[in-house]
Amino acid sequence: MKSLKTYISILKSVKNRPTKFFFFLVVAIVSLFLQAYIHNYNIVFLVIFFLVGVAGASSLYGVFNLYYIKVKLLSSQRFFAHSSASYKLSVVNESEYPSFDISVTSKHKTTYIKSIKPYHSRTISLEEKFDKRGENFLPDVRVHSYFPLPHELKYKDLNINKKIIVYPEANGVSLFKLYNLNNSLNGDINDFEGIKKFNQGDSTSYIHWASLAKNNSMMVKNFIYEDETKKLHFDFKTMKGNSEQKLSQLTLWILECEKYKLDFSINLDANTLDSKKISTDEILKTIAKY
Amino acid sequence: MKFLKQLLNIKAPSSSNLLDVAIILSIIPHLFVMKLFMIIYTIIALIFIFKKEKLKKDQYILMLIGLFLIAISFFDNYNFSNFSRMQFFVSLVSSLLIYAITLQKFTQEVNIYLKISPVLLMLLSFFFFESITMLLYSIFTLFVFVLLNIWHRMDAPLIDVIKFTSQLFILSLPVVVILFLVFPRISFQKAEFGFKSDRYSASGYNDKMHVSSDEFKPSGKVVMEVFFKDLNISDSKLYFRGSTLYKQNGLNWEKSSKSIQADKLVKADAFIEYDITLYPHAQKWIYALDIPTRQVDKTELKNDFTLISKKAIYTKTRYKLQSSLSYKLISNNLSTALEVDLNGTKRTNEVLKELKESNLTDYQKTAHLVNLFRDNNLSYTLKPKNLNLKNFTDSFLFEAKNGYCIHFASAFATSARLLGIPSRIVTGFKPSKTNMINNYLLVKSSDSHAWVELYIKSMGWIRFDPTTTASQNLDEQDDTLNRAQTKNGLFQKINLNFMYVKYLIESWILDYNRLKQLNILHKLLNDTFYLLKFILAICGIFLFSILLYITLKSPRCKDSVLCEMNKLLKMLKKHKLVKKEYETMQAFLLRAQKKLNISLSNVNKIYHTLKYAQNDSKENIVLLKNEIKKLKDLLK
Repeated sequence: MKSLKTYISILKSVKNRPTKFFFFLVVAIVSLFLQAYIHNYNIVFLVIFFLVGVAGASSLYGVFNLYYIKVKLLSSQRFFAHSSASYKLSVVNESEYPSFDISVTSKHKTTYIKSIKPYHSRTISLEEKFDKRGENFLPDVRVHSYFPLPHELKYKDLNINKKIIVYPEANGVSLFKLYNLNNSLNGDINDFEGIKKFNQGDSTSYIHWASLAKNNSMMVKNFIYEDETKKLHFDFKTMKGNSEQKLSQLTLWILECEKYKLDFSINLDANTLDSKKISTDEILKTIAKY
Repeated sequence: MKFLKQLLNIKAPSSSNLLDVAIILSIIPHLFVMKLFMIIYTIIALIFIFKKEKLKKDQYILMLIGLFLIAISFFDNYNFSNFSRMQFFVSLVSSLLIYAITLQKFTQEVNIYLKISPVLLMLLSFFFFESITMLLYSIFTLFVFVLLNIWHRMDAPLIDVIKFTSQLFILSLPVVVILFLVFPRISFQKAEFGFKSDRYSASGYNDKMHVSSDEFKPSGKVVMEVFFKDLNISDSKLYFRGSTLYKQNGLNWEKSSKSIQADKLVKADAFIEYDITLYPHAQKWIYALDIPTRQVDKTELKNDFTLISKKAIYTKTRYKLQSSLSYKLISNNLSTALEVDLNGTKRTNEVLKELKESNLTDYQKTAHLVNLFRDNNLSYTLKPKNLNLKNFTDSFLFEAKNGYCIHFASAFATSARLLGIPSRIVTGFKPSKTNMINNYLLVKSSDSHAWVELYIKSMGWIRFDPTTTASQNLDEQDDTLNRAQTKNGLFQKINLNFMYVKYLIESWILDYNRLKQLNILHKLLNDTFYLLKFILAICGIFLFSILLYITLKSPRCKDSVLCEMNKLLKMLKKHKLVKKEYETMQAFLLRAQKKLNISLSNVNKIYHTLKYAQNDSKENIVLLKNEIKKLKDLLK
């Protein structure tokens, strides 16, 4: 038997607010009451009392339906300032009874779960958007439910308690556009200078499908910029714009380099961030915290 | 059975189908009061709704048919004569609502009005009937509404939703009981809502008495229910007075056409308080226990101390009455009570001549008359034989010697008048205590009876029941009848108990009012024992609800092996060992074994044999049960 204190803390942990059905219920009870009170119509009185009783019992159930719901962060995409990124949560039902009609909401997305079995979990995906770069915390998510009856919405806020890094907004001139302008690199990023035989380890996205269709031979594209000897150097000091613009520009280039597997190094004040020595995430993190 | 099983396991249908169920359920009470043309419209509308190809013009046709049939339905009632405004209003609103629902259903579009229509229909249906059936139906409808609402949100089969909804209702039960008892009421009266039924049953009673030789076929129809405040009433006092018949007109006994001077009650003792619930009989008679001492609201106490209602009784009506079981009723004008039809009394007159001319008092003469009836070896039967109605009194007393109450009463009253003793016949009901449970007495049509009142100068009107002078009951000797009665005995007992429960529900739920509330409060404040009983009853309701709730809350067992294992898992949880979602049973049991330092290998083995070796014999399940039981004791 749980102590009264525990029950009170359970009741306090889940909040509620009336819905439009609550007002409909109130109107129904008032009309029934008028009918019953004037004429002492006991059938109607009983219906009113059952409505009140069932609504109250439903509130209690609603609380227990949500109380045992917990969330755990599983993984997340990279967060960039001013753009949405998704993260995965495991919604766990720690009760010995199933939970029903659960919605998990972040600021930007709501995910609905029809039911979770006892001691089971469901994986959901939510989205979040931050305005500032740097260290941040994933905000609380709200778990809410109309179960069992929709006259009130039961909800509770769950703290994910996960520190994340929000990278600067990837913005500015594309790396390849810039190189085209400077004429130091030829061709477009999508241009390839020929095809070669498919080797183990080659990306499947480079497969030259036309050759495969024509000759039934597995060939891959040989890209112009796939030159491992070339290395890009970015110098924060000499870049144009204010610090935030420069950081945004750097972020964009880092992502482009990562995408096309180009090596790069960045001179950031006294530090040199070399993609061959530290991971892209670490470089982005340094930029985010700058 | 298979269908029921399938039904209980279905998952939630679409919300539109759930709404249909709610509408159908809430429309049912309306069907009972619906006009014929509205029923025809409903059938036509259903045909249109279920029609596969729906044309735009169909909607207009349905609209016109509906308007036409509603107009015809209420055509007779436009003048409002003999038709209550409330009935007219409620019927019209109900018809229009059904009309609107059918038209909306035809469009196949679910809007907010359609969604709330079941609630509106339910609210309207409260105006129709006020009975236990309506009470049960209302609670059932509410239960189904809640169930459908939950089912819509609950990803579970019907049986689980029923269980869950039941839990909600059980949890709400104590709240309902307490609110029902303590919620302040302002009215002392019961609601008079409800459509007045056209149906009423004959009570088997008439304010005329016709002596015939026809067989009397008793009916089991209930005439009234009586609830005595005290239990102290003997069988011999159970005479419920209907009418007094003075005038003998051949074979008929009627109420006197002359205005009779009022009887005067000079002494009244042994008062008894009781409630009667009279079933509708379309007449004004109220059957009060002999003799009523006061008139109550909407009734009139007549000159001869019979009680009548000011209006014919068309609905089940409850009266709170008081009677005196020991009284002296005197009368000044007795001429009508001495008028005797001498036709057919020649032999009786001769027999009574000596007694009449004797110097005995009227009371002594009456005693002799009673003895004469007894000595004549008269038999009681509902199938009188050989009665000569032309010379009824002589024929009954000296030739046929058999008959039922009216024959006895008529012959006795005539004989008394022949002796010069004023007499009158009283018709009413004489139930037996065999139809009584605690303070509750059921009076049936078959209890209708006739007896005689004689006026003895020193004592006033005295009741004599000449039927009791019968030396034997011929019907009791009828084997076929006896066998049938024995068979019916059990049924009657069940029926009586059922009626008693019904009465209790009616008086404590449907008729619960401010007066009863104040009585309870008064008793609670003044009677400690009553207070204790009250508290115990409330605690009992709480306990009952909790027990029922716990029973229903336990998860439904779908797999007997897993259910047994769940008991073990629950036990281990108390020792802070919870099986992880990803963990196999084997891994969990090994972990538990290690932590608790007890052997779980037997359980592990039996479980896996049952689960994976497809060896789910009963013996193995018993083995698993025993093993878990052993562990339970060990873990305690």
